[in-house]
Amino acid sequence: MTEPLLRIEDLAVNFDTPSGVVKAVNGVHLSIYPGQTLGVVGESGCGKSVSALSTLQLVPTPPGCYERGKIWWSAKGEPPVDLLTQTEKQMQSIRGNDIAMIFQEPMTSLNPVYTVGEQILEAILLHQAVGRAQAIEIAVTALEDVGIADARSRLKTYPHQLSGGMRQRVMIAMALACQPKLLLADEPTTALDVTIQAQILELLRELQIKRGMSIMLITHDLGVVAQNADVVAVMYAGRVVEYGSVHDVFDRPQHPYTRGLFDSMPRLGEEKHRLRTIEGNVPDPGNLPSGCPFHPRCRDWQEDVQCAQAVPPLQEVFPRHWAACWHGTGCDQGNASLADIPPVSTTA
Amino acid sequence: MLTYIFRRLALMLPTLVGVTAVVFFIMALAPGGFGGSVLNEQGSQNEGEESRRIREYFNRRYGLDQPAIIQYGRWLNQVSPVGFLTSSQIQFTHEQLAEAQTAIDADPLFGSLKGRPGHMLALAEMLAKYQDISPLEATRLLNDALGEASAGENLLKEINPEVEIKSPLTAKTTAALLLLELAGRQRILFARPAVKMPDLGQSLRGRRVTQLLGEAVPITLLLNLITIPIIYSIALVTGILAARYRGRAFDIISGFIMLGLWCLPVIWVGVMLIGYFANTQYWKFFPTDGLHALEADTMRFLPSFGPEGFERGWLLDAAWHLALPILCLTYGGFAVLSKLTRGSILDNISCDYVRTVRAKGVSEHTVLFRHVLRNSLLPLITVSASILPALFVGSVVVENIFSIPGMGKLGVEAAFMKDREVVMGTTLLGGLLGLASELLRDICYAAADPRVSYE
Repeated sequence: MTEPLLRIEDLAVNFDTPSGVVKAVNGVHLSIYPGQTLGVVGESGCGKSVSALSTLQLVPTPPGCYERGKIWWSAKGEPPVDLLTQTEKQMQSIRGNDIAMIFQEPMTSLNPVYTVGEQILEAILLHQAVGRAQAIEIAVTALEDVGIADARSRLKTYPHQLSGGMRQRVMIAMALACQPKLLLADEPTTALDVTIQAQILELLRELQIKRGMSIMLITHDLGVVAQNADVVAVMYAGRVVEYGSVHDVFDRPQHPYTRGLFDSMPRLGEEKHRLRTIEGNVPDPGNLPSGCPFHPRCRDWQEDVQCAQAVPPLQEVFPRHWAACWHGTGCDQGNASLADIPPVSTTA
Repeated sequence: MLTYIFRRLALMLPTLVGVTAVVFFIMALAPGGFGGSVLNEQGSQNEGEESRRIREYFNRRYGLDQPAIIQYGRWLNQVSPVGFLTSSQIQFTHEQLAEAQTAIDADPLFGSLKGRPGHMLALAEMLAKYQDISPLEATRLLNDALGEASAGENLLKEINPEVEIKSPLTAKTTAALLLLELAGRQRILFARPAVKMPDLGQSLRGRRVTQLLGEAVPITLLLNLITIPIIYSIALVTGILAARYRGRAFDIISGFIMLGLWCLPVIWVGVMLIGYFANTQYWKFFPTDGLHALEADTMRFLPSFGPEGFERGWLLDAAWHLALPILCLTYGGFAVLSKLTRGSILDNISCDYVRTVRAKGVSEHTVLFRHVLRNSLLPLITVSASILPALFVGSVVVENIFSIPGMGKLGVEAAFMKDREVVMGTTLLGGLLGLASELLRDICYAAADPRVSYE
């Protein structure tokens, strides 16, 4: 089995706020294999974005703080390096070069006072040993790759002159100009309308196939995950609660939270007057409930089980399908070690 | 963009009229009116003969005996580059004057008033200007007026309907009265619309206002040209550093010091500085007032060693005199700017686009200077436009404390004297500067921020 490109082990990130320590990420395990798309789903504030930002050491410190954990990055067949221990200088050569990131708000994610061209060129000139003229050619190609017509003249436009969809395309072009191996897409389509959303996702899929890169697709839209991801990680309150291939997780969701998410989605051809919701609210990350953070909202919660006492570990309930619940319903495969969790392959 | 600038320039005109009108009418309607303090210098209740004469002269010169609204109209006409010529603006050629002189020389009547041939020509010229006729015609008119008492009386009445004629007119008294009535009298010649040089008029003391401004403006400009770069460089550097090390010692200490300095009133600080640093009984480090030492004109430009040892030279002398006033003008100025820079940088540093830039692998230094600072400076443009007029006003206090003959001192002294033309001159210049800096700010904005466009 190939090495994962990126393996996040027991990552915990805290934020020091005036009202106390907020555990934004609290023991996340993830891995992404080459060419794979990992969909990370969860509500706002569940730690999806912070996990991705930690990968690039972009969590603002202070107030943020990498409490524990390792983020192993193994590119070019070299032994894996822990990205959290890299110096700022080393990170700068990784950011935008090996790992690129695109963000949720294309409206505000580009610097308003520089042209699109200047902003793309900045990344290219930083990471590639090319002259300006050559860099312009690369930028033009990058813009053409993301489907922007008349790319050469678009280089001279300012972000405010472009529509939201165009700006997100520019963001993608900028992120992909240096041929990264991993693209962290932090809710890339949330701020866009549905047709543009579909176009952007389609574009990402095409580029992924063309370049064989991996994508970590962060979203709160299960539909987006179903269509685009190979593997899905469901996050809740700073932890991964369910993990497996898209087929497995969508066919037989194991965690009550995942089931709740599916229940709250309308299905085609099904007549429902009212969608079923998950009762209660997301717990305050500064004040998590004891035991399983989901237990106060859980439909399956019973007094006698240790839900309120201990945090359930991520267990392999079916082959290559993990869930963190004391009510593990599948075949108990024993205790999979946390360290090698979870080698879900893309070629499933 | 050009259309926008033209529109703005066109809008400046009514604004300027409004600004000057407010100042004009406040002065005109204030007790005592224009020049009041000069006339009642002795504080006498009853107007003496001398005061009456001066007042009559001022009435003629400035038209003070007319309603305020007409006075303002006259002033507007005077400063406007497009308007009607006034009688004093008419210039005669040498030939015209020579013609009149020949006519005066040939006439026995003027000969009888001998001893004052030059006065006769001057009188003819004044009359010609006032009546808007040629000097030759004026000599004929003068000839009639001097030759026949009733003609002389008519002419006097025409110039001043309220003139009192007590004794029967002789040629000599008619000439004297005409000279008195015409001296300084101006009339707008509505028959002569023209494009002319704007005229700021004459101060109460008799000097041209343009001349006064010409002397005062360079001094204030010098002060501001030294002050503004100091303020800006200190403010920008400390603002950037404070934002960079937010919450650390530098941020807190610099913020504390600046706020403290900002709270000290200039009036108090200026007096204290003189009291300690310029007082002969304390440390006589700096001069108390003025821009130069008395002997500055004889100094060399640069410092040098002469026969009597070290000579500080003109340049160092000026710097030595400017040190305290510049200190006063700068010390409080950078607090606001520095805080603004810091706040603006912090606002921008948490923006989404900065995260994007970091995610590209750009170094922290480049993030700050190329991306954040560029965006942070935009609000500073707004503030900098108000700094220019503010320094003009601020220097009023400093110039008065240190007796520097700049714009501030000129304006304040003119206001005390109720010297209409000087006050209006400084108002007009200040208004123009303020409006121009606002226009400049908006143009800078369009240049600095691609999102701003005036198309």
